[in-house]
Amino acid sequence: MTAKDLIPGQQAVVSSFSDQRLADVLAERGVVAGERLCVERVAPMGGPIAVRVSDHVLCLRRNEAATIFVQAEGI
Amino acid sequence: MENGKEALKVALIGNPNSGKTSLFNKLTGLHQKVGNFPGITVEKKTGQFSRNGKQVEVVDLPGTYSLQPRSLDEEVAANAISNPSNPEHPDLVLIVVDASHLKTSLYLALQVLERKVPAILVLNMADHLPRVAADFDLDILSEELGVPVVKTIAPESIGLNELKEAIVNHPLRKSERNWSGETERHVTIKRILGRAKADGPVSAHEITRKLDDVLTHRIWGVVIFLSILGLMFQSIYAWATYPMEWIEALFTSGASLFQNHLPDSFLTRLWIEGIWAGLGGVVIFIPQIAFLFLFVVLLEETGYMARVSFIADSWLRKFGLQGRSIVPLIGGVACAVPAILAARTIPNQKERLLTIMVTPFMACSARLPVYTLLIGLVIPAGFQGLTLLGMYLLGVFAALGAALVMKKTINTSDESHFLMELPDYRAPKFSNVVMEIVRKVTQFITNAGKIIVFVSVLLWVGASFGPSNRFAEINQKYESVSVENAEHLKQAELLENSYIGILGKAIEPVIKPLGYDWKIGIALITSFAAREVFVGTMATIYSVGSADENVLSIRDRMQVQTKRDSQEPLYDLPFGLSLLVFYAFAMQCMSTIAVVRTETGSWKWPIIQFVMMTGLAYTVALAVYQLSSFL
Repeated sequence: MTAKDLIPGQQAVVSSFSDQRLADVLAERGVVAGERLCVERVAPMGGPIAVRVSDHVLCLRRNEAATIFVQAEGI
Repeated sequence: MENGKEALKVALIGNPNSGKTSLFNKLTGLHQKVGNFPGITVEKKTGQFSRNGKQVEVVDLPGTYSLQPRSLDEEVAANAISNPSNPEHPDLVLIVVDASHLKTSLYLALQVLERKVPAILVLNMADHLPRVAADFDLDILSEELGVPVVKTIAPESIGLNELKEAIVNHPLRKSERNWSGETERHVTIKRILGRAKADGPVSAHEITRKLDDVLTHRIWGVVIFLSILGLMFQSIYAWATYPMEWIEALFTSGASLFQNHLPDSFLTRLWIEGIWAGLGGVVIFIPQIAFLFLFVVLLEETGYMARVSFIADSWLRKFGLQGRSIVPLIGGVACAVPAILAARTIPNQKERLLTIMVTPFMACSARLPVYTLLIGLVIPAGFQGLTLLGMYLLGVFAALGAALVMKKTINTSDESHFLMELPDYRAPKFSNVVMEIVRKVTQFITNAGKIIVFVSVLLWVGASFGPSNRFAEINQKYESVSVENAEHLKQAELLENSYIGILGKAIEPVIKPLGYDWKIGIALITSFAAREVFVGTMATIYSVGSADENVLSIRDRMQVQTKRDSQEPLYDLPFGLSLLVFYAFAMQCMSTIAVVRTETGSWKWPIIQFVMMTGLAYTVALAVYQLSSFL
């Protein structure tokens, strides 16, 4: 599953990325494999999702979140 | 630094929002100046301080997350650090690390240290945070990184003396550590944080989370955002009116004072009707600009603007823009020039270009005096506020509509990504807000002010002089006539035959279908320098030769003008509406054209923008005038 499939409040661990260019940018913000993330909130109208990861909250569009493969940890 | 007399060059580098600028302000105090990096319009802030007789020059580099640059701003920072032959290459780098975002900050820190530049790590804390970083083992940080570490709380000036000492006493030796590769860096950061006992989980600020539940809510979020915008316009219209009236009163009484006490001469008239009138036209803007930037700076400083981008992204994407475009678009309500610069934060080229192209449609503060004057002139009292709101909405619709059309015509292969941080909410720093407003107002006075006064003087000269044979003829004609208002008629005829009058008449056929006469033609010509010049131009045109009448406000003067063949007011509703929409759409700002040229790197885009906007303005104004005259 990918970060896009998570629901608000759900925790997950990053396993891999399908878009290397975006992965490079995410790495600068501390999003690397093995890092824990949690979906904080979802913008209305199909907007971006806000993910708490590393030491901050990052907003990602849904198609961007879909490039991050994660392992869900339950709610 | 081989030469002992030369100042030590220190550069500040850090993530955006790391408190870097706050630290810079505290280090250099008022000894700072704002310029541009050579050749590009990235803002460059430099300042000085001295300690133990040593001069230190500090440069605040643009905020960045890495030294692999992805935007113009980041490239400036990266190049200055990495390239020793860059004139901005510093002797010493201060790596500003945000104590509440250690992981992300250290990632940049490691990259900087890999470039083998002498450095100091500054562990900076924002005062409002719980002191999560209070127990950091600074010695371990220093040992791991191989550079001195200083802890500061910039807003409270804590640690500043220690930092200054560390700067002037730095041996300027390079760090010998090396962490190549991403994985290595992340492993190192984990180890450092673990050893320095800073690895605790960072939990969400409870207040931030609760506020976001409301502020990013699908309904309340939008309602609150619109209310804030409403308050913004209300304050500009209502609150700024008082200081504007005082300024107007000051300048009119000043004009009468000069008139009564200075000898009637060429210089006196140049001073009163050209320079003084032009100065008044500049100063009158200050309250509006100050209020606008007060709001824009507050929204940015508190972190609210990021939430607006978050909820607006899905809407703006439909128009080819993105969430971050909201900052330039709202900023465009103040002034398109800084707003277009703010579009730099948009990483996607197409979205950035579209944002730049449509931002000038937003009703900027330079349009406001034109709107205020025209609305006061032709709109009935009860509908004036509503009309003004309508003008702002018209700007928004035009911007979005233009984006929608251009979205289909601009093609770039660049993949869009959004990726934006939602920072914790924080109370705005009063001094930061005030400094920012003062900077914007000063920038306006020095940049736009120069143009306005210059154009005002040019206009006065153009309106006061004309081909000498025509002027002689008119003077001669009125010498023998002695009707009641001969002087008035003579002045009007002189203006009509002045250089500027001739120019206005030359373009009259083109603008006549829009309902404008040659006087408005003059104003349109001069407005291409800057929109706000319109008001000054009208003031100049109607004040020429009025030396012995009472000094009237410009609106009163325009109100009493009548049509050539009847007693109806010249400036009626169809005329007013036509001119309002013309100013809403037309590209009439030299500064914007210049900044679009530098930001897009070619003349292609400003030219397209100019043709698109002015063409639209002409067409719509024509339709509005013809329709409303017909009804």
